[in-house]
Amino acid sequence: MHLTVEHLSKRFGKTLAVDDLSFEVRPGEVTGFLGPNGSGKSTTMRCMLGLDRAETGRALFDGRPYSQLRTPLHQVGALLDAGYVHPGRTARNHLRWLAASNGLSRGRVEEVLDLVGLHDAAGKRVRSYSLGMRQRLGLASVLLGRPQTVILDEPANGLDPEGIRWIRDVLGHLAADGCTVLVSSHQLAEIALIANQLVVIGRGRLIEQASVADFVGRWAERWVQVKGPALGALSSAIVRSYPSADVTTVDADTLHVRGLDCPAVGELAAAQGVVLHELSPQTGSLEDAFLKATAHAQEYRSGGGTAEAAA
Amino acid sequence: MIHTIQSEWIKVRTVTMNWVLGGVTVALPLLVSVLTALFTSDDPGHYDTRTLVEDLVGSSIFTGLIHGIIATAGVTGEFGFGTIRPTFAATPSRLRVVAAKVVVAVLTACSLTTVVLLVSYFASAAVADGNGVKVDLAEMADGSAPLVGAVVFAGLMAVVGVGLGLLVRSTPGAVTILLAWPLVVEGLVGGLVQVITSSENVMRWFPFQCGFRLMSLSSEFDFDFMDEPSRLASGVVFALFAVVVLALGTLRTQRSDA
Repeated sequence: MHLTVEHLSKRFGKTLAVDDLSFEVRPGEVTGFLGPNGSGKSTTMRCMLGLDRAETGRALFDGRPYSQLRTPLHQVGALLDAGYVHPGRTARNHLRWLAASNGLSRGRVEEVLDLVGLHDAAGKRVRSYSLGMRQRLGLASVLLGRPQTVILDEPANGLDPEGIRWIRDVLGHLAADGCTVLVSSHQLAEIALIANQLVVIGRGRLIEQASVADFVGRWAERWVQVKGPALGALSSAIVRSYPSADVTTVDADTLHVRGLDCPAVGELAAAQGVVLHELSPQTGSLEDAFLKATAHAQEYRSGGGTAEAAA
Repeated sequence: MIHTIQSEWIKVRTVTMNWVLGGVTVALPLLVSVLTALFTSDDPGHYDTRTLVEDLVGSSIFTGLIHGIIATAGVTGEFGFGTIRPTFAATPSRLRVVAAKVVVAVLTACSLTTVVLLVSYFASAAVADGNGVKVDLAEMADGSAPLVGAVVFAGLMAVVGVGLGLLVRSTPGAVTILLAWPLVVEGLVGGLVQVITSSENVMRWFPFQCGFRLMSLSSEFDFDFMDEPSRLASGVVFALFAVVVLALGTLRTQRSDA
C-alpha cells in the first residue's frame, strides 16, 4: 500500500504545527519519521488518520483518504500512544472492542495476545500494566487486522532490550512481506538499525526525504583516522601541503584528518616514510547527521550546559 | 453499523463503574417498592395500586438520571482516557460511532428500566398479596402510562447523556450539568422568572420538568395548555431537547480534532 502525504498543513491557534508537508512512504521498506520535539510528527500522523482535521492537504492510502476505508484495521494499523486505553478494562477486552469494530474474531484477539507475549496478563486491568506492557498491547492492536500499512509513533518507548529487539524483528518482517511501515522515534540508533528510508521534518516542514545512507552521507561529518607509532612528521606534512585540512591529534598514536581523503593521506605518509597501522575513512552517526540537519529547526534546545554541570 | 454497535456494547459492559451504576438502577426501584409494600400493605387504607406506581415512578426519576450519567460518562471517559482516538481510527465515520453510542445507551436504559419495573411491580404485588392487598394495574385508569413514561424518560436521558458528553467532553463537567440542571437550575431559574415577570408556572415548559411529567400520575392526558402540558406534549418537548443536545454534541464531534 502506497502512502502519500500531499501539502498537509495544520494550525493550532497561532502555531503552524505542520506546514505544507509532502512525502511518500513506499511498501516493502521501513521509513523512519524523524524530527525534533514539537516538529509536528505526531500531529502529522493524527492528520493522516483523520483524527486531527488538516487545514489543507491530505494523506492517501493507495489513493484513498483514511476516512474512506470502511474497515481500516484491515488496511492500516496505527499506534499513536500506548496510553490510549481505559485503565479499568482488561487488555483482552480492549482488543475485543477494537476487533469487533472491524468484524475481526475473538480468535484473532487471542492470536495477537500470544504474538506480543501478553497472553498470561490479558485478563488483568490495564492500570496494573507497565509502560512496556502497554506498548505491547498497543502493538497487538496494530497487528489485529493484519494490515498492509503500519504507522507507529515511538513504538519502542518503555520497552526492555528484548522488547526493542522484538519490535525491530517484527517491523523487519512486515517490510519484508511488502508492508508499508512508517515509524517515528527519538531512538536514532534504533532507527539506523531498522529503517531503510527517512523522512526528516523540523518546525512542521520537510527537511529531507532520503535513504538512511544518503542522509548520513550528506549531513554527517567525515574524516580519516590514522594510527601509527610516530605520526608527528605526517601531521606537519599535512599542514604544510594542505593548509585547508584540519588535523586533530587524538592521542599519541592517533590522528583525525578532515578535508582530505585516504589516498591523499596515504601518499603523504609514504612520501614521509611514516609507518601506518591504520588508515580508514570514518563517518558520523545518524544522530550526528540528524542534529546537523535539524540544527535550525530545534523548537526546544538544552541550555548548553555539560553533563557534569547537570549532575 | 452492526460491528460498531457490537464494539460500543463491549465497551459499556467491560467497565466496572457501569455495572455499579446499573446495579443502583436495579436496586433502587426494587428496594423502594418492595419495602414499601412490606411495611405498609398490611394496612389496606394506606396501600393500593397507586401507591406502588408512585413508588416505581418516584425511583425512576433517579434511575433515569443515572442512565444519563452512564451514557455521558461512557463518552467523556473516551475523551478523558484517549480511547476516542483508537475508536475513530477503527471507525473513521464519526457519525456512525455517535449513532452506535446512542443505540447502545438507549437500548440499555430502556431494556433495563423495563425489566426492573416489571420485576419490582410483580415482586411488590406478591408481597402485598401476602398481606391480603390485591394490586392490579388494570384497575387503575391509565396506570401503565407513567410506567411507560419512565421507560421513555430513561431512553431520552441516555440520548441527553451522549449528547452532553460529546459537547462537554469532561466527566465532572457533564455529570454536574446533568444533575444540577434538572434538580437545581430549572427550579431556581423558573422561580426567578416567575417573580420577575409575574407569569404563572413558566417552569412547566422547561425540558426536564417536561421529562419528569412523562411519569406524572396527576395530569394524564389533560390537554389543558394553560395549566400543565399533557404527557404527550411534555414528551415531545423533552425529546426535542434531547435531539438538540445530541445534534450540538455531534456537530462539535464532526468539526473538532479527536
